Amino acid sequence: MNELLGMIPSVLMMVSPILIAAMGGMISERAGIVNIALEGLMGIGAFTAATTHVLLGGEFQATVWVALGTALVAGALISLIHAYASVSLNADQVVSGTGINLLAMGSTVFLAQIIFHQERTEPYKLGMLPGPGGIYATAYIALAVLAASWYVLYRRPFGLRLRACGEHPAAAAAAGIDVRKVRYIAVLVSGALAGLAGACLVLTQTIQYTMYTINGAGFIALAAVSFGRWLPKGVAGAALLFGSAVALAIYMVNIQALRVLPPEFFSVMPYLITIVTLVLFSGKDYAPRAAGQPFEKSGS
Amino acid sequence: MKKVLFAVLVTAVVLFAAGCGAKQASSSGPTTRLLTDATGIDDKSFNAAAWRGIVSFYGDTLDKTANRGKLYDVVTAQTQDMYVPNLKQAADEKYDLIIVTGFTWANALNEVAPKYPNQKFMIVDVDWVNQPNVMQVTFTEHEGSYLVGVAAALKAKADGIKNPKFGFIGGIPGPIITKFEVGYVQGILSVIPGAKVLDYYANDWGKPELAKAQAKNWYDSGVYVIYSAAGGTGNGTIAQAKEYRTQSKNVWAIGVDSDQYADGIYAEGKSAVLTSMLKRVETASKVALDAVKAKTFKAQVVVLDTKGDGVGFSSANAELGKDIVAQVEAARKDIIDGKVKVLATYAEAKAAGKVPAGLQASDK
Repeated sequence: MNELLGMIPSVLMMVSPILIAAMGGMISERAGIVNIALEGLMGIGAFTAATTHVLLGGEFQATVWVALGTALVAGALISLIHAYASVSLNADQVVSGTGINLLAMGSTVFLAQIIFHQERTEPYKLGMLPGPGGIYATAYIALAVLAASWYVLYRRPFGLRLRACGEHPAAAAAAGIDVRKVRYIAVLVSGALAGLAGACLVLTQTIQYTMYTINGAGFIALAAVSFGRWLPKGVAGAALLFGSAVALAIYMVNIQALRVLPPEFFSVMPYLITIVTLVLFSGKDYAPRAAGQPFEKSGS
Repeated sequence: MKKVLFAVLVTAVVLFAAGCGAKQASSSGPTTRLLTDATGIDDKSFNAAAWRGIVSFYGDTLDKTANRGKLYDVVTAQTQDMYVPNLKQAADEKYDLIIVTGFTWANALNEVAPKYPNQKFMIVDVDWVNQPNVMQVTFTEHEGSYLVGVAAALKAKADGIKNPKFGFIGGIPGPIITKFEVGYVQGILSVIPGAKVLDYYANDWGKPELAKAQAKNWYDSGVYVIYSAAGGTGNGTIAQAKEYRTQSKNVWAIGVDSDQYADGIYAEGKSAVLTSMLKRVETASKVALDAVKAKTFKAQVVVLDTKGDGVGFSSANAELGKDIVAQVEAARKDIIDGKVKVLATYAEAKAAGKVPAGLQASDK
């Protein structure tokens, strides 16, 4: 039992980045822009954070927070490309997002070559250190992001406008809402959160940024958005479920009686649990109606 | 008409220049090209080591590669479908030796090598590409892993740890990683018979979060040292060991392939990486290039073992202590002298009673 409790910090360590990125993805999709670039933006954030932290000495907790900040800014800046392409130019959102994913992979390695003369950042001495109970601050950041997202989306007029842009942009525009501006803000926020998520991931889970650091976490976040029915509590639940399933698989490997199962079973298990739950809870289509569709002003 | 003439002229000049370039290259010693997988020559492992071997063969250093482009170069294949085209291109350019690293290249090499019977190839970590123009180099990773196992157990003894437990984290199960695991376990048990060893396979070379979560779980339950042979996944083990050592918990990580001492540094002169299993892929490059130069290149399987300085252990961490280094050196000598024989497969080692049953190591 103690061992299971001991896994809680590990679960939170794995869930936090996914949850933060998924919140960003959710906000963007609620405004009508599918942000498939979460993976790439997390990579940009992770690279920026690792680089900042290493260049500032790589051992002080203060610079960890500076690194989180720079990653947030970097994520927002790169997502500007996605916003410009999909909002201003009405480009296909999947194509533009995929472009950023490829760009992130190449450019981070390229920049690492220039800065560190190798295809990865130098390892930092210490990443983020856990607080009481072995829990990293990233868990509290994730919680704050979750609460803030819910509050803005459902308790502020801006949230209502944002959701309107994702459901029926023409109606929103008729009501006097600047759809493009709202969508720009939503994409930038999702970029900032994805960058922050990448930073949280790299600073708590490993010792440096490499091409393989993100390794699908952004796509899991994207899946969590639809799995969670585009609702803050649902997305949070989906991320927690997945993280717990991963941790459970790691824990179960140590039980001698379960050793008869092939090791691959434990690797597949988290995905299996997620898919089964998805099937059990599937229902009608909850997606924002206008997600993925460009909005063109008629008439003018 | 003038345009056609101009085009012919330009083509001729280009071809002539290209011809000169090729000739110049082969006039002064063997030329070689390294072909790598997507990770490139900065992977801190395999490709980096192969590259180091080539560079030093030509008397260059990594910072000053004066002969690069003249005598040797490297091409990175971004995706696996580029393996065959890259091999063909290198063969068409008539390098004296083409080096590829890792078993992912085996199929591509098997396809290309027969088409270029006069081209010499060398592949690392594979012994099943049986072509008359391919030299294959493998390593006795089980011996190197035995040595780090001995080091880990001796350190546990020296620190007076009661009933120390040991951990092993692997990447994707298979005969190669099994060599690492069973060698390590044999090394531990040669010092502390009956010591408990836990193992875990992440089934991925790039998921450090899994290794980190498992490492935390194990360290919490009294595991003293964890050895990871899992590529990038192993970084998670090092990250956790650093964190715990910062909190004054006495736990260690062991590095793999190259010396990971620097990766483990968490404070001035302090590293959480106790030692590393060294696999000297640079020796493979050197052996093959020497053979080409001396015209003794043969299609054979070269096994680089402890004796041939193919594998070893790192004594970079001062906290390992002189006594332990001396004792591990003695174990190394025993292997070289044949007094100790380290078994490479789980089936053999289990049958000989040298490792316990119930490990996840796989010989298939």
